[in-house]
Amino acid sequence: MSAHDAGRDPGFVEKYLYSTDHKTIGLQYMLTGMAMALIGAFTVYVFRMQAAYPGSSVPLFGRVAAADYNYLVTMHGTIMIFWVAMPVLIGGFGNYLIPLMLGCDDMVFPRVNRLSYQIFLLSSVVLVASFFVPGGPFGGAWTAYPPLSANSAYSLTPYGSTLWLLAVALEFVAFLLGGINFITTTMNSRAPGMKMFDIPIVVWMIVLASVLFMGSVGPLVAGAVMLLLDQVVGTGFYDPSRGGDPVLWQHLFWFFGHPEVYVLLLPAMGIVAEVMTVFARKKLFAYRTIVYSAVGTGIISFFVWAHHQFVAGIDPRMASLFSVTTLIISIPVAEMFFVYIATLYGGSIRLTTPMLWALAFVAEFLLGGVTGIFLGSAGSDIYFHDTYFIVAHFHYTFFPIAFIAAFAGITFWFPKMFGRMMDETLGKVHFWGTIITFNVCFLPLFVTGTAGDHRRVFDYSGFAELATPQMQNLRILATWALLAMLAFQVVFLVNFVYSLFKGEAAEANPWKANTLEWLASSPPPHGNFETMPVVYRGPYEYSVPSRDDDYWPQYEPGDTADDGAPSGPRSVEQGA
Amino acid sequence: MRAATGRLPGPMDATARALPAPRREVVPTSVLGMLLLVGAEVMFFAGLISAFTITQAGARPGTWRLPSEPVLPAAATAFNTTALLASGLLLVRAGRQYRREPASATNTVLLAWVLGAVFVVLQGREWIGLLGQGLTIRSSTLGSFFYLIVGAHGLHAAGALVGLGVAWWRLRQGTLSPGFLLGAQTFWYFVVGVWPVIYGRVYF
Amino acid sequence: MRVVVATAILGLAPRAALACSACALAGISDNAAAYVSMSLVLTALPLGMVLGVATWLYRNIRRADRHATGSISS
Repeated sequence: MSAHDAGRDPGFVEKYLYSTDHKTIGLQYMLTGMAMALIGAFTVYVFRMQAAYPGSSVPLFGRVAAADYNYLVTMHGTIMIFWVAMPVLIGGFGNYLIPLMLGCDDMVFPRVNRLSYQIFLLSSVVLVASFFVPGGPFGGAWTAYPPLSANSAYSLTPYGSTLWLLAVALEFVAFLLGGINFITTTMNSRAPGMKMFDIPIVVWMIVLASVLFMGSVGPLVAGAVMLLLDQVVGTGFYDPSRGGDPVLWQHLFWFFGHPEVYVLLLPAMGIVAEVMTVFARKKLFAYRTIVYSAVGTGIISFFVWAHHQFVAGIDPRMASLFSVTTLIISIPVAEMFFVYIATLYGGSIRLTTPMLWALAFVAEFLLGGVTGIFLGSAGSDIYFHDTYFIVAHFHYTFFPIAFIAAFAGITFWFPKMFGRMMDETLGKVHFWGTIITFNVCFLPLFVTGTAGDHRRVFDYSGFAELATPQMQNLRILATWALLAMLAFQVVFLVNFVYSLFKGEAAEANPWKANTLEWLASSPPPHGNFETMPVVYRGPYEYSVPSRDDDYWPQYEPGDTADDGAPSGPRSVEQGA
Repeated sequence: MRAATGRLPGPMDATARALPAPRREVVPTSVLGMLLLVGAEVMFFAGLISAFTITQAGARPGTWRLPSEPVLPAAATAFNTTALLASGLLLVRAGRQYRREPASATNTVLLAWVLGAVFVVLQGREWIGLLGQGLTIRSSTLGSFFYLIVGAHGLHAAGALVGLGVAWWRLRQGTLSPGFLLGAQTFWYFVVGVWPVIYGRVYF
Repeated sequence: MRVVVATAILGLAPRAALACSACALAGISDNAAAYVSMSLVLTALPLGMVLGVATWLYRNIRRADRHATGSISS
C-alpha cells in the first residue's frame, strides 16, 4: 500500500507540493494553519481597535463599519477554530507524528492523505477568496444561526455566506479523510510489539478526537446542505414563515460544535502529556486512567450540546438535564489534569521552552474550565449568555488549545521536523511575552462581561450604563494587551525562520525521549526509519532505578520495564 | 521481525521497496477505512432524518404538504425498494463466491449492479412524475425534504454503483484486489441498509 | 425545602416553567417530543456505532497482540 518510489529523486513539486509523504503533508497542514493564523490575527486586531476606539480609523484598515465588524468577528472565529486549531493540532501533528510514533513508514492510505490536504487547501482558498467578493465575507457569526445566515437580506453578505458554507463543508471532508487515515493507521500499522497501551498518549488522543469528529460531523453537514439550499435554491428549511424551524440549525450545529471542543482539546492534552513526561523525567502517572478519561470525555461530549441553547427556548427539563451532563464532563477532564500534576510531582523538572508551554497549558486551561462551570448551569448561563464573560471563558479554553499547546508541540518537535534546535532565549521571551499579555487581555473581559457587555455590539456609545469610562478603560487595556501579544508573535516567527536556517544542528534524540519518532534521524528521511523499529516497552519509562540512563526508549531491546523479567517477549497479559 | 534478522536497509535502498514496513492488519484496512466513512455517512442521514421528523412535528397545519401536491407514491416505491434489497443480498452471495473462487462471482456482481441501477433509474422516473404533478423542492417543506433526502441517497447509490462497476470490471479482467471488493461491498451495504429507514420515514 | 417543593412543582408541571413563549402559544408539544426523541437517536447512534466497531477491533487486536508476541521472539 505504501507509495514509495525509493531510489528515485523526486522533483521539487513532488517532494514538497504533491507529496504522499505523511511528514510533508503534516508540515503543509501546519504551515497553512500558521498562515491562516496571521489572517485571524489581523481580523482580531481590527475589531479590537474598534472596540477600544470606536469610530476612529484603524491603521492598515480604515474606519470599521458595522457590517465590517460583523464579518471580522465571524472570520476571526471561523479561521481560528477551523483553519488554525484543526489543521495545526490534528492535520499537522496528527499527520506528522502518527506514523513516526507508531514506527511505520507512512499512513495506510497515502493518496487519500494527499487528497485530504488538497481539499483542505482548496477550502482555505475559498475562504480567503470570500474576502474579495461583493458584500465581503460572511458576517453572520461563526455559528451561522438562521435566519441571519439563511437570508442575505439579513446578513448582507450574499456571496460571502455561500462561500463560507462551501469552505466549511470542504474542510470537513478534508478532516474526514484525514481521520479515516489516522484511525486505520493506528489500528493496522503499529510496529511489532506495540500493543494498544504502548501507544503514546498523543496518538491515542488524536485518534479519539478523530472518532469524535466523525461521529458528530454528519448532522452538521446535513444541516449545512439544508442551509446552502435555503441560500441558493430558495427552500424554506429554516424559514418559519414557510414551515421551517430556525432552532433546528442550532441543534445540528451544536451537536457537532460541542464535541468539536473536545476534538481540539484531546490532541492538545496529548501534546502536553508527551512534553511533560520528557521534561519531568518521570513516568506518566496513570497512563490508562488518561486513556479511559479521554474515552469518557468523548462519550459525555455527545450529551452536552444543548447547553449552548439555554436561551433558545428549549424544554426546561432538557435544560436541567444538559446542565447536569455539562457539569459531569468536567470530572474526566479534571481527572486528566490531576494526573498531569501528579506526573510533575517529584520529577526532575527542566524548564525548557516546550515545558513552559506545557505547564502554562495546565494553568490557563484550568481557568477556562472553571469559568465553564458558571456557563454550564442553566440559571447563571441565562445571565452570562452572549456576554464578554463567555468570550473570555472560551478564549481561556481555546487559546491554550490552539496556541499554547501548539507552541509546546512546535518547540518540542521542531528539532525532529527540521533537524535544527530552536533558540531557547527567544523562545522564553516569546513565552513570557505571550502568557502575560494573554492574561492581561482576557481577565478584564470577565469583568466587562459580568457587567453586561454584549459580545456582538460594535459600539457601546448607545448604551449609557456600558459606555462608562471605567468599562471603556478595561476594553482599552484588553486591546493594548492584545497588540503587545501580537507583537510578541513576531519573536516566534523570527525564531522559527532563524532556527530553520541557522539553528544549532539537532541530533536524532536531543531531548533524550523514549518514543519512536526520536529513533529516526532529524529530519526523518522518506520512509522514516533505517531499520523498522520493534517495540519492547511502554512509551514513558523515565528514571527507571535499575538503569544508568534516565530514559529507556521503546525501541531498545532489553529487560522489560514493568517487572524486570529477563529479555524476550513480554507476556500477553501486560498489554491486553 | 526485521530487527531480529539484523538486516539494515537504507531508506533509499532499492530493495527497501521489496520489504514494506511490517504491517499487522488486525482488521482488513479497506473495510475499516470504509466503515469509518460509512459511520460518518450514517450520521449525515441521521441528521437529515431527524431534521425531517422535527420539522414535520412542528409544522403548522397546511405548511407541511400543500393540498395541491401529490401524495408520495409509497406503493410504487416498494418495488424499487425490493430491487435494491435484492441487489444487496446478491452482493452478499457474490462475496461468498469470491472467497471460494474469485471468477465465479463475476455474474452475481453484475446482477447486483443491474438491480442497483434499476433502483436508481426507477427513482429518477418517479422524480420526473412528481415534478410534473407540482411537487418541487421549493413548493413545500415536504417537497424540500423529499428531494434533499432521496436525492442525497440517490447520489450515494450512483457513486456506489460506479465503485461496484469498477469492481466488476476488474473482476472480469482478473485484477480485482480483495480489499477493493470489500470496500465496495461495505459501501453498497450502507446504501442498501439506509434506504428502508428513509423509505419508512419519508414516504409514509 | 422551598427549593424541593418548587422543583417538584415545576417537574410535574413543566409548562409553568417553559421559557419558550412562542412554543406554548402555538401549542406544538409534538415538536418538543420530536426534539427529545431525535436528540436521543442522534446521541445514541454514534456511540452505538463506535461501540460496535470498537468491540470488533478489540477482539481482533487481542488476537493480533497474542500473535505479535510470538513473532518477536522468533
